Amino acid sequence: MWNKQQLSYIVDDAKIGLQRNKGSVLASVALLLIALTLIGSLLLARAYLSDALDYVESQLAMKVYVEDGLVQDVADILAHQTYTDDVTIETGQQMLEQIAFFFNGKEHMLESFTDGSVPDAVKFTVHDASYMKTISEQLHDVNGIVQVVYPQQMASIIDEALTTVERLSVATVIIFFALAFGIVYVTFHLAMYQREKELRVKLFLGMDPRVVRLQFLVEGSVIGFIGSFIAIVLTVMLYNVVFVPLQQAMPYLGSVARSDVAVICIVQLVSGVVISLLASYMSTRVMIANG
Amino acid sequence: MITLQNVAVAYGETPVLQDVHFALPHGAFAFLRGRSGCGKSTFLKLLYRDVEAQSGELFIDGVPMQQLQKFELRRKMGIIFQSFELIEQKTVLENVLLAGKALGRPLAQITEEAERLLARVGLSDKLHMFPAQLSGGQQQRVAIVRALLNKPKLLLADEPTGNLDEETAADIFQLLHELHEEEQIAMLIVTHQSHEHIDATTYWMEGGRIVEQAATKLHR
Repeated sequence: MWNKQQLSYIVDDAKIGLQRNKGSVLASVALLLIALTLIGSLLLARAYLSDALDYVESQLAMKVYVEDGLVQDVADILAHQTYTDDVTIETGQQMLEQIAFFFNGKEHMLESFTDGSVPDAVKFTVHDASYMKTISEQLHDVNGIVQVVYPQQMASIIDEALTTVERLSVATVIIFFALAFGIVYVTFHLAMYQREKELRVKLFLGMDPRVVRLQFLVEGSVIGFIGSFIAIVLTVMLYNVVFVPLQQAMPYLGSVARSDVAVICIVQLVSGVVISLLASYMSTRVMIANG
Repeated sequence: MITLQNVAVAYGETPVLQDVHFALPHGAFAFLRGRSGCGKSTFLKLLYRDVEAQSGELFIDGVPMQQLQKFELRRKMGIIFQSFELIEQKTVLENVLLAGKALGRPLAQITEEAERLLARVGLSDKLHMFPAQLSGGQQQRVAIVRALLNKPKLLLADEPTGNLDEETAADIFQLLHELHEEEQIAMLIVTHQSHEHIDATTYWMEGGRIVEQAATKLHR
């Protein structure tokens, strides 16, 4: 269909084409960049928080708050259950002592806790974290137990919040992708009209319409590549500035492996180039196909 | 070289060409004449497939045109328009090179050929000028060179002097005739004007049909 020489002509023409439409090219790059950076940030956060969620879910400790004077009885009952590993009593007073250091210099705030009654609790660990929900439901019906707390509850709350945030982010990303697609489409549509005479002449001179279109596809992929490249740079910066220090400070909570970052960068590059290529392909389809 | 048999073209319900029989031999120099609206331009567009025939058969070098892709067909011919169709942002040389680039020919080869042809038509000092800096006659010379760059077997010209004064028009026709002889290219030129001083075959169109064919042979 084309030879090496023709490819170099196409690249030259693509360069000229991009320079002629600087404004709309920059707008296309900016929108792609925003969408791809959002995707990168989202995927980084997802990778990090899924680790954190795994950590929370892997914890085997449960806690039940009990009515006054029943803490020892409940501890005895729990100690004899088959799912229990070990049992510890945590009185309201002990709990206050544990959190007292948070209120250094602000003891008056701690008094607001001590004024009210902090219930006693029994902490116990189980063999298998997957039974926690069932155990919790059973314990709710036991007289004297006020509340059952276990890590999966927190994980489920975080997960729910994360899902909501994710949905919103995905919707935002889709909107930006649609905008980026739209502006690339319009950019090439306008470019086709601007260069209508040149394209018509090329076709009359016997240029293969596929070669004419290739020029626009090259321009589209350049836009996609530039947008993706800057988004990748920003994502890597975000990883180094935010996520690396975070996982150094709290290594038990979560981490994002470098291989994950590489995958995210590939996703950004491929989606950026594909969207831009698709938009340029669609916008040039009809006019060039008609010769 | 080109043969049309019983060809008809219509724009919607309106017939433009009907029952057209035509044969243009290799190396011919021919005019296509007729009143405005008789179908001359449509006839030319039919040859480079800017319009398609509703019926009939069209051959180029014995091959049905429908068997060729548009771009394959157009590579066999050069086309010149009344409005020159030069790209304003490109220089004279760049405009000419566009033809070679369209086919992916090596730059050195097409540059040498373009410079030779531009010198032949008297534009060797205008290579780096833009079309707006040239007269109408010079612009049409550039368009002619562009059409000839890929050494087509056939040159089609649609009113090539329609935008030029009489004297310049005569020069352009003379140039076309000389190039036809030098480059061994068949030419079919749509024109309103009479050119009795040029050896040519003239086809007459009327009401979408070719009604007459006459040859002028000058004795020099």
